[in-house]
Amino acid sequence: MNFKIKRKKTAVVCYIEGDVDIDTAPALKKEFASLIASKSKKIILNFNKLNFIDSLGVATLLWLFKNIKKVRGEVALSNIAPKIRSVFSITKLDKVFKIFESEEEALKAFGITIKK
Amino acid sequence: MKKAYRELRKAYQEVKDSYAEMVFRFALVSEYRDDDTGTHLVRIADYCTEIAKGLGLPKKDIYYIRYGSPMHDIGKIIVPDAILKKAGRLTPRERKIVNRHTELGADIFKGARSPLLKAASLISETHHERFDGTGYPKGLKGKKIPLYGRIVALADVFDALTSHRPYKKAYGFERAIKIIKKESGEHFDPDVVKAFLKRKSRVKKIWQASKDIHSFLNKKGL
Repeated sequence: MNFKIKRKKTAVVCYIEGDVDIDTAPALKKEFASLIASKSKKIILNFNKLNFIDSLGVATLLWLFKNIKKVRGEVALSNIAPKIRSVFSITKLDKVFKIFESEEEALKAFGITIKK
Repeated sequence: MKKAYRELRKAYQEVKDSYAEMVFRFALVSEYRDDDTGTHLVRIADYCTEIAKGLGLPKKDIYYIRYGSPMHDIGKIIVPDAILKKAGRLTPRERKIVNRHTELGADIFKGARSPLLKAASLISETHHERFDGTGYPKGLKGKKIPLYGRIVALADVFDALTSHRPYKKAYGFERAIKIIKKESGEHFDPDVVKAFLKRKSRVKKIWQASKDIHSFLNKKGL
């Protein structure tokens, strides 16, 4: 797994690449925890290059959802690769999270427009 | 030439990915009918992956078992609701019909050329066979049961034990492990049990994660 962030105005976009699974989920949880600790309130997870996700990965995403809510923050997902979409729909993540086709749309939903 | 090769690889990967995606979606049909959540499918895939790794199987087998295992109950789409969702005990005749889901599932993929769909067919047909030969549909014994079937048999039972059912509460992790151990050589292949126990701490992580997901979705009414 590869984790990168970019700050876009008041939002933080996380680019999560590769596999989020039993071996890498703990590292991702740490990244999420430090984002919350740094008072980030608007988080977008860009899953364009997510290759694989298992139960532990799903649980980690739900952990972020719960904990960002506690600090009155928000999280949205964007660019979910087609091969991962089926896992998102069967585990009902698509009913929990706000999901957008593109990063721009997710930002817009957070009230942020980026001029090109 | 290099570019053409790259493009061909990419196209192949896309076909492979869409098979894997289709398998999960297709498997979900049977889950809807059974009033279970889709998390069961991911869990089964995760448990099977751990067992396959514990057995030291090659990457391609791990792939087929991972994406083939969620299809194990696909044959249930052909079993009538009145039987599948019956609250009380099944009559012998009804039991026979439910048991047919193994062969019906295999029929759905009969003649498939994709190795993944072939694996799904095999898994569907053999995941209720028992190592001691008292399973169904064929009563195959020991290593005559295809390995994929022997793996899914354990994962499926472990998942059933640790899941809530209308007639029983979910068993705790250690209690379920104990039952699996006891069934080694009877219901399950001892080698598969060994591989499963070797990965016990990882299995526990999957079990815990799945419990967390389940209670989260429950609270949300999903």
